[in-house]
Amino acid sequence: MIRLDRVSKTYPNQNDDRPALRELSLKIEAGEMISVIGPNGSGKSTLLGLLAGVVAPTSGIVEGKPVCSVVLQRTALDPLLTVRENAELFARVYSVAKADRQARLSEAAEITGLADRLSDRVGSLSGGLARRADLLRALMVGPELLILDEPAAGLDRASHRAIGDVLDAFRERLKIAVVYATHDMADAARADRVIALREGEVVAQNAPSVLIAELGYEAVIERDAGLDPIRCSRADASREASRLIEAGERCSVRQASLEDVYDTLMGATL
Amino acid sequence: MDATMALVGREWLRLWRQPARIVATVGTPMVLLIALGAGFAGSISGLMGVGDERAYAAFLLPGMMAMASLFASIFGAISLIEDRDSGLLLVIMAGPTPSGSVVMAKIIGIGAPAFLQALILLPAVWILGVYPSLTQTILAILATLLLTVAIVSVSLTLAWRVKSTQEFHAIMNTVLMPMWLLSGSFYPASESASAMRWLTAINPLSWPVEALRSSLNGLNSPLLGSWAWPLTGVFALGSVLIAMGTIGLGKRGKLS
Repeated sequence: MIRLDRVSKTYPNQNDDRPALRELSLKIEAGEMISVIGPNGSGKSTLLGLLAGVVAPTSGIVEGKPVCSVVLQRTALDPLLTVRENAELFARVYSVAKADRQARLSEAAEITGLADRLSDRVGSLSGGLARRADLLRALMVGPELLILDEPAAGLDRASHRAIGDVLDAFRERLKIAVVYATHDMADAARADRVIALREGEVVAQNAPSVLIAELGYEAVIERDAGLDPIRCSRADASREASRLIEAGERCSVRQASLEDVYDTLMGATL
Repeated sequence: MDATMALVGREWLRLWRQPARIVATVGTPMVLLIALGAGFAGSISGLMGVGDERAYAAFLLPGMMAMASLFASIFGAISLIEDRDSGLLLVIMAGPTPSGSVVMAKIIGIGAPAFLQALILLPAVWILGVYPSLTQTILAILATLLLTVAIVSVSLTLAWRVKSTQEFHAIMNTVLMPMWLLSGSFYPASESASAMRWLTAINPLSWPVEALRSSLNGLNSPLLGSWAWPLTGVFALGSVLIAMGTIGLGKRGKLS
């Protein structure tokens, strides 16, 4: 669908030695869901911009130009217009045939749970509903590739969960390729593949389960504050935890997760 | 074409849902026309050596039409800053619509209502005792159109260059309002001090104001002569090209 081959990006006034992205290669297939993780300034937004075609690479090749829709951290809708008017505006801007618009609006409204809010002005919606309206807008253009920059940032737990469900529906029902940047590792773990960026370079790229398996441990025993956690195999975890409890320590056992992958990969920059 | 019309329609819908913008745009020039025209009726008409006390108000009218167009353009251009900051412009421009069409939609979307809001003041010319012929009226409408196209394009270009609406207000006060004040809207520039005459003559906003005034009274501009019309055309066309180049090829906003 789209392929980046040894793509680098250096912004004007930026030191050539520290580009925003350095020699990144990446291939995205139709229907794939990819999460992009990394600390602030690691190049996540630049990568999304390259995929969306709004950032031009300094070097390297970008092949393929899928119909792309972008959802930003902020709601990119006109607050004076209703949800329906915004959706129709974008459908027309993206040259969606008039005959297809109503069906697409109905489907997008159903997926985003906004069927009864289409006549509400966007400015009157809560943050969570406005974000869902933005996702509805993104669906109206019939994208092959959907790019989201921290889609659930700043939302309460219920809205956060709702956005996650909408993204799952995109993948399962519409087979749209989804690429999203996130700081939430539970969100990142929903993806088929995780791309970890640090200082403009890919430091890991694989399925979440593979990245977790590559850690070399399956369980983490969290101990009282100030004491380092113990990382071990699942088989060793209960024995080790029992030993700590017998010694009078309080502890809890959890499965290794993408959080641990992140801490391991980004440790030096935290 | 449908995309451009959708974006134009959006601008009109926004204006319709902010009626205060329409009231402020037409109301302020109307109040100024009445206050200044009536307030200085006797004194300035006396200085001008004309018996009709409505003469100064008739002189003011083209400048007030320019003001209506200017206000409407400024209010409209603020939407460009909002669109850029919200990311709306970025997601529009990530689509297949050429950036030139997006800019043209802004110019038409903001310009058409601004043109009509300026034109609302035109019938006052008959009330003020000036009776232009049909040709003169058509020329006055054309001058108003070119004036509006130029002002909208300049406003959009300036709005694109600033970082916030606050900065745009500062630009409005330091660039656009002085341009209007120095356009000969209040005073006969050809009779003013030499330096002022030059300032008015090189001010692009004076060109359409002079073209509009000369259309209404059927005489050549005493300041610019027969140059008022060609200069007005250059101002309008140049402003559109600069707006399209600046906004169409400029950075479209940040992803985050």
